[in-house]
Amino acid sequence: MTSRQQLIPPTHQSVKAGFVVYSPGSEYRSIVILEEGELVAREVTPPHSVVFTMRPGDLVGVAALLEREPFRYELSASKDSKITLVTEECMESELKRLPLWLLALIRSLSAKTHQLKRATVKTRVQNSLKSIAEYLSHKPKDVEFNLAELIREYCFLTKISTAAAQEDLKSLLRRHLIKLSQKDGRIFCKIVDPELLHIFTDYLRAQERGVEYAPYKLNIVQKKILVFLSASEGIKPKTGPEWITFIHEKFTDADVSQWINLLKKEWFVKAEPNNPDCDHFVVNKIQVHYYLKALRYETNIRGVL
Amino acid sequence: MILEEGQVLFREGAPSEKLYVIRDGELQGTNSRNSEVNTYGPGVLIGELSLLKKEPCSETVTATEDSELIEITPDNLDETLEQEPTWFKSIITFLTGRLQIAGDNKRKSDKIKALPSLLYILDSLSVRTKVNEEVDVSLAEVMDGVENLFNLSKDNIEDLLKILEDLEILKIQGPQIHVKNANVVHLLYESIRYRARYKKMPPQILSMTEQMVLNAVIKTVQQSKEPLKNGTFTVSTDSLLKVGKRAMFGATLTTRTMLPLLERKLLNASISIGDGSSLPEITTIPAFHGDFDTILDLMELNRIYPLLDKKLV
Repeated sequence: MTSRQQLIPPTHQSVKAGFVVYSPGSEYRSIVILEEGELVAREVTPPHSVVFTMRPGDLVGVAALLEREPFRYELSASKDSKITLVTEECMESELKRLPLWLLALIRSLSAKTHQLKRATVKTRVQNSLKSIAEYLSHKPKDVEFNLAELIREYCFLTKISTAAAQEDLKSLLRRHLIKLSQKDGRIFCKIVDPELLHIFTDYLRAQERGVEYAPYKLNIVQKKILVFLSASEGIKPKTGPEWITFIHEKFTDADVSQWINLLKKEWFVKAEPNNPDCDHFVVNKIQVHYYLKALRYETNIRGVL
Repeated sequence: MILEEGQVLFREGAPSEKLYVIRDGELQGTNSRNSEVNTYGPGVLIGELSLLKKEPCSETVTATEDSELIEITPDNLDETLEQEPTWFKSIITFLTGRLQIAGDNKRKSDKIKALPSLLYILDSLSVRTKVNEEVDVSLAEVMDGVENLFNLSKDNIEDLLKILEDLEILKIQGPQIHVKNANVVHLLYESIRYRARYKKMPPQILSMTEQMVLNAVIKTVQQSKEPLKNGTFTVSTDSLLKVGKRAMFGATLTTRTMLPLLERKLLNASISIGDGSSLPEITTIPAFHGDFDTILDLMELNRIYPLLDKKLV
């Protein structure tokens, strides 16, 4: 391979027990590969505890050399040892010889490790408004919570910064989903309606997925049916065809496809959910109520007050 | 190699041992664990750990436009490395191992950090539907709640639920989660929160002696024929001392050993024991009483708490 650049060879050394191979003050960076013997890495401050012990075949200093990460420990031989030192010059000459894809592979391994390490200390939450709305939706309504305590608990759960949490609370306040009050120099927070916060998280989820939030894509007929069903009381269970006729009598525009649509929206449920042979349906008041509430508070949810 | 728009490079979970370098075009990666979409453009590498560790594909990668890729096989890697010095292979092995460790640490850290969020959601849903200590909550609601709150992927939430199942806190039954004792979930959440906030052992976590005393109390109550009155038990000191001899592995039951539990009102003496400066002999106290469920819940928490760290790490 005459075209390949020449490699500056690494340095091989034999060291006696007690010899300091590397100390954090050193200007020289190198990868230390232990060929024979034993090396220990110690804290530089008393009591100079042993952080790890190296056995033959182990190596240290890759991050220090390739990524300029400081190596914080003193490395010394605990037994007579043979080591190989890959210096900066040696590594550079080696990297220059490599095909581009292998160089890219080394960089990629390094970058991905860094990314993962950084992500480990950061919050996982990407949509903090959705996250805090979910958190508050589990609090009871009309209870005055100390705001500082609420934020503390939320930040403990999500590792989000206090400043970010405060910004999101402002956004919920603007939507009238929470109320703030002041007493004895302390700020208190009241949840207006946990269900509204729950609706808000569902709305944000739909936005994230790039789909329109189901309650906000109802057509006029569906909205009329919704209002009718929410006000209806004591309608007996009916079969699908009976419901189609019943709805069609009230709303002439509604047909079979409308019934299928309403079933998909879960406005109707089987009268006996545990009976597979049951062919009768009843109005699912919980779902109807959910849709109605989402529509009634649309301006709050959309934040266009 | 050339990939046409819409063509799949590989599917999530499929075995692969190749590395791809994108020369031109754009590809997108999706997985079943979360809704994130990764976009890859020219210069980006896909499949490092497939080439180096034969790890299966972590996502499904599809070309979003006509793309050109360089394919690197294990043979290509071996041929190249044969021309390099042996120490260079050690460095590649080191970097690969370090990336795998960083990935494992990230997954562990995510689970540890997400546990309070899961307990918070479980606790609040349990309170909402609670009729007694046992409660059924919707698995989908828990999943959505934790995903919204903490942005943890569904498979990680399932792993966490499995850990709680192993600890016998709950049982997953189809679309429902059966919480065996909602009070214990609440106590566990509050204990973890307390430890995070004050950086010390939560008050709900008892010493070995306290646990032995309460264990003796529980056994005495269970052996006694006296019914509970509104959940409150009363045990005579004579019976307690007899059970204590067997249940406390040689430790002696004294007013001093009972004192921390008396101070925390977990147990109450039937006579006043003063301010603690000079304690009466235990035999001079006729009986002790307390809330049986509170003690059972606390003992259950103390069974779970030390196991939790081991399960998570």
